[in-house]
Amino acid sequence: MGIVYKKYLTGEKVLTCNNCKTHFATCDSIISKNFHGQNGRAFLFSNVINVYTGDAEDRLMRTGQHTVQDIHCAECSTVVGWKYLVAYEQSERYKEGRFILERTLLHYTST
Amino acid sequence: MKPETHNRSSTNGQSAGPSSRNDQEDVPMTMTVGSPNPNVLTPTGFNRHELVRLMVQSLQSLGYKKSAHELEAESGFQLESPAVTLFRECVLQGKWDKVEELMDELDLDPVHGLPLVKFSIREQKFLELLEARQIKSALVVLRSELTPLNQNIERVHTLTSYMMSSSAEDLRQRAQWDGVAGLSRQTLLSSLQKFISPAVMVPQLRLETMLRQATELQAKNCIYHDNRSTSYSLYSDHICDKSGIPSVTKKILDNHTNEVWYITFSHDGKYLASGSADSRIIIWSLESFEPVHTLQGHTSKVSCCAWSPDDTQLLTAGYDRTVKLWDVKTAVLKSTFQRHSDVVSCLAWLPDGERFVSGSDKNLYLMSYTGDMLRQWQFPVRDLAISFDGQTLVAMGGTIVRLISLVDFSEISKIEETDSITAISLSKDGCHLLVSTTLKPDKLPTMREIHLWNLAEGRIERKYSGFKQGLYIVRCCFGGWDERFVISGSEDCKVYIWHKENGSLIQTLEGHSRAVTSVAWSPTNPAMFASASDDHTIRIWGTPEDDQPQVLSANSP
Repeated sequence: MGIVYKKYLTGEKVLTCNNCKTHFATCDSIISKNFHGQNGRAFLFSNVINVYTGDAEDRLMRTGQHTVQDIHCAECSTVVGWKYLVAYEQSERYKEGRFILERTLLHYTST
Repeated sequence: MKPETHNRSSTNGQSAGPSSRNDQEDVPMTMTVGSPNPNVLTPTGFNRHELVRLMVQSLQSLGYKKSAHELEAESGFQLESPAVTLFRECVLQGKWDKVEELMDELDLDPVHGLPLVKFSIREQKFLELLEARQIKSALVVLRSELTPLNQNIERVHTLTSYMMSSSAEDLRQRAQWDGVAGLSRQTLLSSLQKFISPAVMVPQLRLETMLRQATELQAKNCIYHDNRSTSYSLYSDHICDKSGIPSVTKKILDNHTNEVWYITFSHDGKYLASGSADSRIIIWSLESFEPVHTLQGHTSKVSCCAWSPDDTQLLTAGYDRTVKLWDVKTAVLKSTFQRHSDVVSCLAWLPDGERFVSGSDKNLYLMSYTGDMLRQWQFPVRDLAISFDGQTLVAMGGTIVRLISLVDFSEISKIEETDSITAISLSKDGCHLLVSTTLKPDKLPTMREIHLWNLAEGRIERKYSGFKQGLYIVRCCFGGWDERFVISGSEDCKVYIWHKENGSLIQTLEGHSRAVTSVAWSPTNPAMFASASDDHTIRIWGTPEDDQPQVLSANSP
C-alpha cells in the first residue's frame, strides 16, 4: 500500500469519504444528481480524485448494459461508486469515462 | 569516445595541408636553424612557443636544470627573460630593494597593476621586519612606503594594528601569515601572478596544473566514479568500473510485520530507524544488522521519523496524529505531542537539537522538545528538509516548495511545479533539491519525473525518469561519493539509480517483491544505502566487491 499520496480540494463544499474523510470532488463539479446506486441517490462527475479502479465488468442497469469498474477510496479501499467505461445504448454514451459516487458513502466537508 | 576519434581525424586532415609543403625531414631543420617563429602551431594545434616554455618550466621544477637549459638552447625559446628569473629569485630570497628595481621589467599596468604589486611586496617586507622584531624599520616601511601608495587604506590600518603584536608568533597568528620560514613568499609570488602577463612570467607549475584539470574533468565525466582510486595514471584516461556502486543486497531486515514506510540513517551512520504500518519503529544496528530497539507506543501507522543532531533522540509521527520523542539509548518514550489534528507526514530537527518542525495536511509547527509551540504556519506540508547549516527550512505541499529562513522565519523564496509533488530531498550542501513530481497524471498515469532544482538560481537542472509511482508516496535521495547519484523507490518493486550530473539511468535493482516506497543513503558509507518496501522488509545494498575483494584486485592491472 505505501503511504497514499492524497490530493486536497478547496471549495465551499467538498465531498469526502464517509469512512476516512479523503477528498473526492467538489459539489460544484457534480454533473447530475439524478442517478441511483445500490444504496439510494448517487452523483455523476467527470473526474474524481484519490480513488483507484477495480476490474472491468459488465452490468445491466436501469438504463441498459454497461461496462463499469468499481472505484475504491485510495486511503481506506472502501468501494464508493463506479466508473463507466462503455455504454452500449447510444443515448447513454455521454456517461463513458465518467464517475458515480454514492451519496450515502460521502461526507460533506467545507475547507 | 566517439567525438575524440572524430577530432583526431580532423586534426590529421588539417596538419596534412601545411606539412605537405615542407617534407617531414625539413621539420627538424626549421626547429634548429634560424630564429624560431613563436606562432608556429604543433600538429595538434597548440602554440609551439607556449608548449616548449611549459616543458622547460616543468623540467626545471623537476630538477632537470641541464635538460631545461638544453631545450631552451635547441628550441630557441626561453622560459622567461633573465630579469623575470631574477625577480622571482629576489622575491623568494626577500631582496626587496632589488625586487623594486626589477618591477619595471615586468610590463605591469601602470594604474591597475604596478601600485598593487608594490603594495603586496611592501606588505610582505613590513611583515617580515615585524617578524624579525625590527619594529622601527617596519614602522618606516609602513609610513614611507605603504601609506604613500594610497592603496587599500583599510588593509594599512590592519597592518598598523599588527605593530601591537607581542611576539613573532603572535604576529603570525594575528595576520594568519606563516612567516619567512613558511610559504609566505611563495604565496606572495603566486598572488603577484595575476598582475603579471603570463607571457612574461609563466604561472608556476603550469603544465601540472593543466594535467590536474584534465584528470579532474575525467573524474567528473566518469559515470561510476567513487574516489576510491586516488592515484591517476597519466598514460590513459581515468575510468571507474561499475563495482563501486551498491548493487547487491547485503542484508534483508524482516522484523516488521507490515509495510515499511520510512527509513532514515543516524548521522553517525551506525543505526537505521524504520517506521512501519505495523505501528512500530525499529532501530537497527548496522554492524550486526539486528534490531537494537523496537519502539512501541504509536496507535497507528508510522509515517516518518527523525534523528536528533547528536543521534541521542528520535522523533516519530504518523497516522495517530501524535509526535513522539524517544531516548535512543534506553528506548524510553520521553514525550508525546498532540498538537496536530491530521496525520503527521514529516518531521525535522533544527541543528540546535532543541527545536523541531512537523508538518501535516494543514499546518506546519515549530516546537521545542519540551512541547512549547514556538511558531505555526497554515499551509499543507507533505515533506520537509532543513539545510545542513540550519539556516533554511524547505517545506513542500501541493505543487509548491517554500524556502523559509530559520533566522527570522521569513519566506526566502518559493519554487513551483506545474504538477503535484510527492516527495523532496535536499542535498548535503543545501544548494540542490530533488523534487519528485506526478507529471500530467491524466495522460500518462504512471509517468513520473524527479526534478533536480538549483535553489539559488531557481531553475531545474536535470530530470530523472523511468520509475513508477501511482497512488503512493515514493521517496528519493542523493547518495554516493560526492552525492553523485540519485536513487528512488518505485511501485514496480525496483530501486532506480541515476547519475546526478548527466541524468542517465545507471541501474535498476531488483529484489523487493512489492512497491519500494522509501530509500536512504548512508551518510558515512558511500557504498551503502537502504530501501524499504511494502513487502515488509528493508534491504541493505552494498557493492559487489566487498564479497570478493581479492578477485577484483587480481583483475586490475
